[in-house]
Amino acid sequence: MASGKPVVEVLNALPPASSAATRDIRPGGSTPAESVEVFDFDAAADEYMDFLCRLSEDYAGGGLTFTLPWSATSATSGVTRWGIAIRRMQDDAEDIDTAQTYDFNEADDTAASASGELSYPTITFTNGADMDSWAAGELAIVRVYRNADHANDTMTGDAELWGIFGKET
Amino acid sequence: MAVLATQDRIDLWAELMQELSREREVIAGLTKADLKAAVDALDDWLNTNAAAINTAIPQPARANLTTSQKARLLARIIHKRFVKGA
Repeated sequence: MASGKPVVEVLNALPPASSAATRDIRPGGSTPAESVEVFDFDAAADEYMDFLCRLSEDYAGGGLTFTLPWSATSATSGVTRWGIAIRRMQDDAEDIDTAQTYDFNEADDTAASASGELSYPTITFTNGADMDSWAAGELAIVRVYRNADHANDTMTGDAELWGIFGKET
Repeated sequence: MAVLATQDRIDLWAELMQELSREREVIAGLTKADLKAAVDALDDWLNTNAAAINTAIPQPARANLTTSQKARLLARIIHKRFVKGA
């Protein structure tokens, strides 16, 4: 039975060794200006950002729904295609030194009508293999990417990811 | 001179989007493909009209500047016009 709770605890952002989204500051319009730390995902090349996450003890065996709040750096139209994949770090089983083939679930999302506005697309996972059988209490690498070379990704300029959060659904 | 190579056009297009993003220039009403088409069309136009641009340069500059120097001159003029909003 899905709890509906925000069971994904985001502990840290971990830029991968190559093709990492770029940390940036999105300045706000107030005085003094807000400085929002974002991750810039390029429009012409696939880029990634990993998040170290823990699945809380409240997790009740359902699927997961991640939300990716993002803004466009410069565009006011067009589509960004986001993907998320999970690497479960199982106790005494998963070795971070070995290569993982990340299996992404993806979604297209249209840019907000102003470049400083947010959009909140969601990407869902069903319980089991789809979420790498991630279990309560375990860590995982949650990898986010922009599939910039996909035909559906039409938006010019960077996509700024503000963070991620996930709940059980 | 021929048009830019396919990869050079792609690189230029990607760099342009990165530059516009850095400067937070709003880009409204066009897709990545639309912007790439603009890159291709302008490069094609410059190639088609290279002779006319050369003819517009008065003597003795036309005869004595190298092709590279003429390209630099054209780039400087276009850049200055951009900076001045012309």
